[in-house]
Amino acid sequence: MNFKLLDFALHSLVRRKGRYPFIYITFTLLIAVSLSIFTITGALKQEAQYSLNNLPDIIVQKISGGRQQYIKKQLAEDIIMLPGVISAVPRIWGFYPFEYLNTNLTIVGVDIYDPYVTETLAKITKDISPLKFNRNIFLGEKLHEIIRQIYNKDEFSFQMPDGTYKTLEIAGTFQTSSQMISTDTVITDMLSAAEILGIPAGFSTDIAVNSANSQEISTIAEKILNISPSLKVVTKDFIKASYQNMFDYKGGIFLLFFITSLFTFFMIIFDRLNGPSGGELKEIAILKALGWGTSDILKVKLYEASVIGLFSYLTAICLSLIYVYVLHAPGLKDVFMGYSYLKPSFSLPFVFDIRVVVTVFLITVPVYGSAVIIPAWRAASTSAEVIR
Amino acid sequence: MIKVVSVTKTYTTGTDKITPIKNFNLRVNEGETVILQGSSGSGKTTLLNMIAGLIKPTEGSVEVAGRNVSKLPEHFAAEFRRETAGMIFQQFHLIEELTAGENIALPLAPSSLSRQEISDRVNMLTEKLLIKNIIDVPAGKLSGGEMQRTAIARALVNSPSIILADEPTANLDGTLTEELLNIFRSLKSEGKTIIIATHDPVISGSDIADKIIHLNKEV
Repeated sequence: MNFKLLDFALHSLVRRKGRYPFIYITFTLLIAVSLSIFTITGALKQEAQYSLNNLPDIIVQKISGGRQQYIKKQLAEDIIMLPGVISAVPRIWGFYPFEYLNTNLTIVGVDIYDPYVTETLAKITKDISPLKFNRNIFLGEKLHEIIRQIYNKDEFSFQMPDGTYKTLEIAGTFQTSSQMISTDTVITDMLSAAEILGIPAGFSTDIAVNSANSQEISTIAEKILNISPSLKVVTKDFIKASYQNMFDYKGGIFLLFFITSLFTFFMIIFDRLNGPSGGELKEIAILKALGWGTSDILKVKLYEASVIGLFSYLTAICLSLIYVYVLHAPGLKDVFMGYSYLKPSFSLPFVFDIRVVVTVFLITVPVYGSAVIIPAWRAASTSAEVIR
Repeated sequence: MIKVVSVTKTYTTGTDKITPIKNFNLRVNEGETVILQGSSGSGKTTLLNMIAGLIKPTEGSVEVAGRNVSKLPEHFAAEFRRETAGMIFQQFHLIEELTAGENIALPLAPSSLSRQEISDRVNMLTEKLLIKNIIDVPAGKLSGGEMQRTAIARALVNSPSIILADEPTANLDGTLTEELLNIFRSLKSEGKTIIIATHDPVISGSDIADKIIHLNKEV
């Protein structure tokens, strides 16, 4: 490396005060936005993964006329008899419109006499006061805050399908590792949930099935479908794939915007450098007349581009990390999570995917370098007669 | 020695062809000072650029110190300029944001000389040309005379054996022109070969010219 040429390149960056800061800032923002999108997508996928790990292996639903119907609880007894099935539990859950926030709460009924449920609830909740029959609820922390603000007390009145109200006390809030799903969730006992949701006695929303061996899930799913043609099975893998697709789809849309912006950016850069930049052409011509070779001029341009590109890239990495993990991605997280009054207040898990970092580097810095060096090479090859 | 043999240069712009120099011959001995005279477009600058290896003749050859510069690949032509030729331009062509000292050092940046060696050369020249006081002043803030001396120092910093000057007095008043002539006299006494393209009668009528060549505009 010729440090005198590097010196000249650094001087050159300082000299062109109006030009390089513009490129540096634009380039940095572009890389930072793209890295942020990829990082958020990765972090949300991981966050979703935490939540989905708690799902049952198979969810059995009843479908009629293309719509989900309530399913007979009794069917769980047929399913538990299938080889490989270790549990088949009817679940009571559904959506309760909470007009004050213009959103739906997810009401989940649990068997409060099941020791496993009690134990699980103890693990995922804080301010523990046991769930009592027909008395109280657990809910997300954010929802709890809002209800306190509205009613100024720790209880909530649900309007049931017949128009009457059912008031339940708030027993505690969730502290799950993922609040992505639990933030708008309300847990209560099965009877209360069925009353609030209007589910008839003897019926449930669906049936959660767990298998002894994950290799057998597809076989069990087939056997469940053989019980009745009106049944539909949804496996955990299918739900995971749906979540992945959702984030990939949203990430893809942003990627499209990113590529468009990138393309526009480089067109501007290329245009700026390729156009009649009299000052630069003249400088190249002077340097050539003074004994600089084309390779010397290209080295200077390469140093300039490398300094700008690498500094932009490093700044962009820092900015994207700050944006995603310190500021919690304001704006972008909402786009990926959906807009809601009950925005989850969770922190994105730290995900450092070296492939993303390398890919973004490869599609930005070398391309920028080419956009600088190619016009400089053209100018250096043809500029001998520009000056007198 | 510089030998320009049967040189023709044709520029092509779209369908137009311009031939400022046609079948031109010139021989300049070592230590000689040659004045190239002629109207605008007569090919003076083109000839200087060909001698410097910046452009190649369409026909014929240009030989400098035994090297056929018209056949040199770009990299070697640059090396030749850096080691053999110093150029002085009509409009000085200093880089305004760099200091006078940095401008003077520019031709040596790609060389293998150390920073100290370059600094020594710059100091020596600025002392010789009486511009040591402006070494740290940005070129954009120099007076006409200071710019001229800085441009000359830059042309001399690589200790060239040949000085090529293109209309060096075009932007100078009488006093500065006389100063420049004194510098040329000094360079001539050091044995430098000097080729000056000019239509300034003060230069062509001075005592420095060993040879005056008239270039006619080709049609």
